[in-house]
Amino acid sequence: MWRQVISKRVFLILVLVIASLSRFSLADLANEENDVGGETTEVAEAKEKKEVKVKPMMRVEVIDPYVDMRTGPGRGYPVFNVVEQGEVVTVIKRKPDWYQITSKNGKTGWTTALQLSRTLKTSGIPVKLPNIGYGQYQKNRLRVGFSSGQFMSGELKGAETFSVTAGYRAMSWLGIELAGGKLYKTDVSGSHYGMNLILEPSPRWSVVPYAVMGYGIMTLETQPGQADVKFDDSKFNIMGAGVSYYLGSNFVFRGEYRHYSVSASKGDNIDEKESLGEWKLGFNTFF
Amino acid sequence: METRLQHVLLIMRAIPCSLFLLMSSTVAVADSTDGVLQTIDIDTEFFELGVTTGIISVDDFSSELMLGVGAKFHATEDLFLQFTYGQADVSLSISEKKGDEHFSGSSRTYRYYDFLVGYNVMAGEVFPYENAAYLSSLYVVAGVGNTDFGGENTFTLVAGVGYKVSVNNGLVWSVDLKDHAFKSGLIRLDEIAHNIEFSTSIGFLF
Repeated sequence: MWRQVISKRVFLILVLVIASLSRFSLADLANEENDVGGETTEVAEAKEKKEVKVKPMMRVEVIDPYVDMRTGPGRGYPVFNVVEQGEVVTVIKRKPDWYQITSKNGKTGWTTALQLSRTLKTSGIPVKLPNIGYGQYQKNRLRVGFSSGQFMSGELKGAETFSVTAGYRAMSWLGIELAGGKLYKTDVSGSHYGMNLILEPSPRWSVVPYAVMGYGIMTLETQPGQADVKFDDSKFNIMGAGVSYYLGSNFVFRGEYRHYSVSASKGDNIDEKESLGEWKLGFNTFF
Repeated sequence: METRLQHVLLIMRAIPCSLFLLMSSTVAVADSTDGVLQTIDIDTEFFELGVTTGIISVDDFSSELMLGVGAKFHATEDLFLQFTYGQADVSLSISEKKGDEHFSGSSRTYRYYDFLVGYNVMAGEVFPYENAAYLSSLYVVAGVGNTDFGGENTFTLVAGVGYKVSVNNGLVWSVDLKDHAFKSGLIRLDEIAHNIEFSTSIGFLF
């Protein structure tokens, strides 16, 4: 019994420690960025300018031999204009993987984020466009996703599940997420919600293994037409492992196995331990 | 073991603390990037909110007018995640007209929500009249969700195909054909119901 209380406390403390860690690491990051090339005065100027002009136009110089301009933000759209090396273009809009630009001759079209990231600002300082490249890039980003699967073992064997998650990637290797979902079986259905930590080392690979641990609550009820049984809410801890596959810079396909250890109190506070296994497939995106 | 009250208090104490820490870190990011990265000012269009109307054919019952709302997140050029909610009031089936209603009240409202992943298969343009070109795309979606009808909540698989036309940078019109498949015990035991939805949506990008 004490072990359970302690494990819960440990989990909560862990969450707090991680959140504070992320805060410090971000502060460090902020300092680093301010130090780059002694741009501090420029930052101040930029801030002042910003007050006068709400949306400054972003102008970049093309350093690739040429940049294709397409009619739409997708590889299927035709190229209708080409911008030459050295020409200055104005960036108007950003869509996934694409930027809308206006060239010197007044033509407006779309170019890939990849091509535009290799350009220079008019001042000659490389432009840091919010660009592709997974791993470090997902740090400090929000994550949302959903997954679906089935229980493989335990009393809920055969139950189909889905869950939705929303969270925050505090560090390149660590995320916190809230999860909620439902499960369905012939005789019972239910919902579950909880909080998970996701540990994802080596995020620069396109296939990345990860571990997940979490804590949550599950409620069950009998399906209509079945003998009515009252279930108490049960608490569970999860431990799991899976593999992420980056389909795009910010889009992940996940396959995972989870072990639930559920403690349900039945009747006179007698704790019953139940082990469940679940496999699931899902998608996650970062923004 | 701690009492339920202690347990709730424990959780409640942890949530604001972690939220505060997370929020303060977000502010730090905004401060650090402000000015250095002018890129923040570039207008992005990743999110889409929309309204939907159409017809849903409820297996063993009738085809009904449906209304819905949806949200999309366009993650890459090809992929997006989608949430949809829809509902329709279902009138009496032929067998019900002859006999008794199987169920009544709020159970007669067919409600569903689902989470889908979508893939833009073919991007193109449409030229409805001279000197007008609109971006278009054919896409497929698949996912899971919940259907609430006749007192049953059922695990639902969804698959569909859609076609969208961008009216301008911020407005998208689309037509979707989707199948909602689930195991239902309303009429026959363990029958697989296929409810086909044909709908049209207007989406606003931001």
